[in-house]
Amino acid sequence: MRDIAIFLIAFLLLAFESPLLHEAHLAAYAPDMALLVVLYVGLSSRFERGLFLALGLGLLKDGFVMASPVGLYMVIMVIAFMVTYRLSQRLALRSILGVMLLAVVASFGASLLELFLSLVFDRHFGDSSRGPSLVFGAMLPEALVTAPFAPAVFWALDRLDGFLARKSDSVFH
Amino acid sequence: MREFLKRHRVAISSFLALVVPLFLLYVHGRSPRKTTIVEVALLRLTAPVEAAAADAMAGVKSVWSRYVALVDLAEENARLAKDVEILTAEALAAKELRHENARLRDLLQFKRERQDLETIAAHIIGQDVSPFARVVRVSIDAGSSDGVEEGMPVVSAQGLVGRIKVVSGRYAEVMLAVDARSSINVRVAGKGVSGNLEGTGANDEYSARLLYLQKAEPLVVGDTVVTSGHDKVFPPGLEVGYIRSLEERQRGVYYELQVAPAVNFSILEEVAIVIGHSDADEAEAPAPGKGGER
Repeated sequence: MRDIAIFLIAFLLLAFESPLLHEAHLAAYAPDMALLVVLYVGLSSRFERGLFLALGLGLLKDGFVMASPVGLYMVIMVIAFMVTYRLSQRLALRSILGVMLLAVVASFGASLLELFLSLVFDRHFGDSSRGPSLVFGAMLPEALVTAPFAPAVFWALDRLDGFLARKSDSVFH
Repeated sequence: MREFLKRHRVAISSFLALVVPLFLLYVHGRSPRKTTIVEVALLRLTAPVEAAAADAMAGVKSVWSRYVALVDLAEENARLAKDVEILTAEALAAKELRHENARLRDLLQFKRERQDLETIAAHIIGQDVSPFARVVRVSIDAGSSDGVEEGMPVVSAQGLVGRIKVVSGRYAEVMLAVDARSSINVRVAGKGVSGNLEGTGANDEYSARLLYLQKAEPLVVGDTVVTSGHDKVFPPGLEVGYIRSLEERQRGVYYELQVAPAVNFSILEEVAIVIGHSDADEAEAPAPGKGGER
């Protein structure tokens, strides 16, 4: 139930993200909502269920980002989940600033991973310098745009967890 | 086997979670290639939702833009209303200037026709009005400092207005020709009839009466009454009024006829004060521009 609800929330976030940013003329600086959801899942879920959810969210993002080959964001989300899951055993997020910092680092990592995977698997990506330079150019703005959304997404999902009364292990300890 | 899977489930699931997407990435990263079933499925899943989201956003945007448009419309309306106010005021001012220009042209024409008269111009600055909205007395912006003296005739382009009653430094009051205290020596132009024109002082109409002893020839309605100049106050030939009715009344030895004034005192704006005139042809001076007939 919780996983389906999180998946639907991510679905809606991704669906509204594109037209909303387009209307606001901010399409070039899209926050990575799916990544934020995966970070929350990594910090709050059991491994197998979280991994499955990260796969689904990655696939969902692959569906919305038509320009990239299917599987790219699945890999990125799975790795992001694994890293966050490992961190969750040692990391205690006590503040909004901590959540934002995590989002910035994760966004940077995801961008680097995207660059690496695209160079390896996407035949067209390396044909010109536009692909790599675009990813490089968008790295910092995307991280900075994503970070402010992190506390809101974490808070909303935390409320959802509270509503579903699944557990009391809030991300915000 | 089951024990093995259970013991290594984290490693196995991690392995699969990485291999499956990497395989998909490998397949979809190739070029050239055909569209895969995964891409079609994803498109079918995401496209309707994306379209619905875009529609919802368009709806929100539409409502928002309409609201903003309404705000703009209100501002534009206020601006246009202000513009209309300004333009209306300008149009009224222009109309007023046109009328003033016409009146001053008439006055100038009068001065050209009566070059024997030495006049100064003045504006009407105040009017006493009767309960029936008739002007009974006017004030002008010329006084003793301008050479104006008590008793001086006041004229307009239409004819005689009255005479100066009270003078102060820069202002004067005019007693109208229709005032009950007013008496002017007149003649009926071209008819050889002389007499006195006295104001009736009626509150509800501008009227005067012509008192005369006898008439040399019959009068008709509309005959022009002009100043005779015999009283040495008013220069001769100033149009005073017109015979309104031929119903004679006898007052002692005099006959009385109703006269309508030549001047419409209600719309009077500018006047000329006659401060001097040459006496050379005063007795024969014609009524201005009309040849003595209306």
